[in-house]
Amino acid sequence: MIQLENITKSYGTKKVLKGINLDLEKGKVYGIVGENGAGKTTLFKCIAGLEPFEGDLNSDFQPLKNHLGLLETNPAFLSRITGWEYFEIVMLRQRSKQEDFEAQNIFELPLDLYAESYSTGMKKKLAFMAILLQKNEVFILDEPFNGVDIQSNILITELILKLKSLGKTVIIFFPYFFYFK
Amino acid sequence: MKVYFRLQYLRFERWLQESGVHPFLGMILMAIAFIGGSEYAYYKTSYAPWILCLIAISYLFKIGAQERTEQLKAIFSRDLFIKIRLLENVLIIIPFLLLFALKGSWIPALSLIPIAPLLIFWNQGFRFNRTIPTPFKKFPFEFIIGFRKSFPIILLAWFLVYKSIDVDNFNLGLAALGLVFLNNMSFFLKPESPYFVWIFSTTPSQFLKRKAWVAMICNSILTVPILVALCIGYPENWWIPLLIQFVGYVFLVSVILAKYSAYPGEISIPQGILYALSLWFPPMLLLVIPLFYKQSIKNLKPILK
Repeated sequence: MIQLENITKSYGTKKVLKGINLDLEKGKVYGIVGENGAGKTTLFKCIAGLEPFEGDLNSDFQPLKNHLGLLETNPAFLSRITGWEYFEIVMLRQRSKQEDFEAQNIFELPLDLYAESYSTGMKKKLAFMAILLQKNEVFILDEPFNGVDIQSNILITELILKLKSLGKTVIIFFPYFFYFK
Repeated sequence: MKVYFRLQYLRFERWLQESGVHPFLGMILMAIAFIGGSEYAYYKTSYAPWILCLIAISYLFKIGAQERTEQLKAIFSRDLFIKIRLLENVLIIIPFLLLFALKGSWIPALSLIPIAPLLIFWNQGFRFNRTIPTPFKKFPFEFIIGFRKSFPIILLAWFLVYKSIDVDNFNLGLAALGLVFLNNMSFFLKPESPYFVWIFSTTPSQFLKRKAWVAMICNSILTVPILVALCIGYPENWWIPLLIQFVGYVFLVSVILAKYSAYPGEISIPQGILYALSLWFPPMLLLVIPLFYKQSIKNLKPILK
């Protein structure tokens, strides 16, 4: 369970988030919809701890960031890093033995190649796979279907439902209404 | 075209402002740094004009980067694109040409003049498509990226060490060791996305210790072979490369601290000047390292809390 109480965030004099209250439970998928500039990404960053804010954020998982998988709208990639190496970097948090990533290459990505050479959709799939490998309890996905082909969209939808059935909390940010079964 | 260059000037002014320096003062400082640095290079080595020539060419390559070139081509007509790029390249080489003219270095000057327009047509789209293997597989990511970007420099340094022993020129070997250290320090100049800091589950001080420790191990992989070769090649002077190695580690750690003291921004001009002064006068590091460390902890706290 994650509780957001009266989350407020301002950039200078401009108030972007005004007293946001949310209860996010295990085994549920939440959608947060808002127009461009509504503050979705700011809320995303506040929950992730990437932006300071006013208000309280309580969670069963302490610290929350160690159980949180983040998928940004445009995931950050380092130059001259292969898909494998990207996984290794993202798995630094776990400090556990490296897994067999190839067996879990559900999107069949060319992991030997530099990630910067991937298409927009492939980059997103790589970043999504990485947060799945982290075995997180909470997932925050900012526009996860953006730039991804239809087959992968279906696969991502199935994966989100699988995460739900495993008792994970999934929060999805959309710039528009999206039908999600 | 006028609008384009006015915007570039505005961007430059903003960059100086964001770096913490008044634009006018920044431009004066840059001119002083260029003149002072060039004078120092001329005083130190007879290769100075060629070193400066290489610096100018590296800027020409940088400004002709593929992504930037493609953007310009998409915005402007072919004629205008060529005019803009030509003027940009000419503006870059003018200070170097003036300097070469004053110093009477005519051959580097005459070499630079045709290179500037020719590089407009250089296709930087070509990329070596193979993944370059590195010896840093288990270490995150600065040395993996840095090695892939600069392995020719490291190969050159190793060759220089071989030549140093071959022709019995100890200073050449020491310069090669210094070159590898400087190259490795450059891996830490650009800040990474906050995501790649956020993923660490440590405190800021543990994070910095880990970064420093990993950097020293990775650095050792590249420099210890040179160190051993120099100690064996010049047994009577074994302590000099060891001293350089030690000082190099201190500089390496301090550049990591300098990077995070400005994080998530880039190292500002005042910080850069402070760091350059410590390179010139190393005892200043006793003052600079605690200062950068304190600032780094402050900057990393919001991301690693």
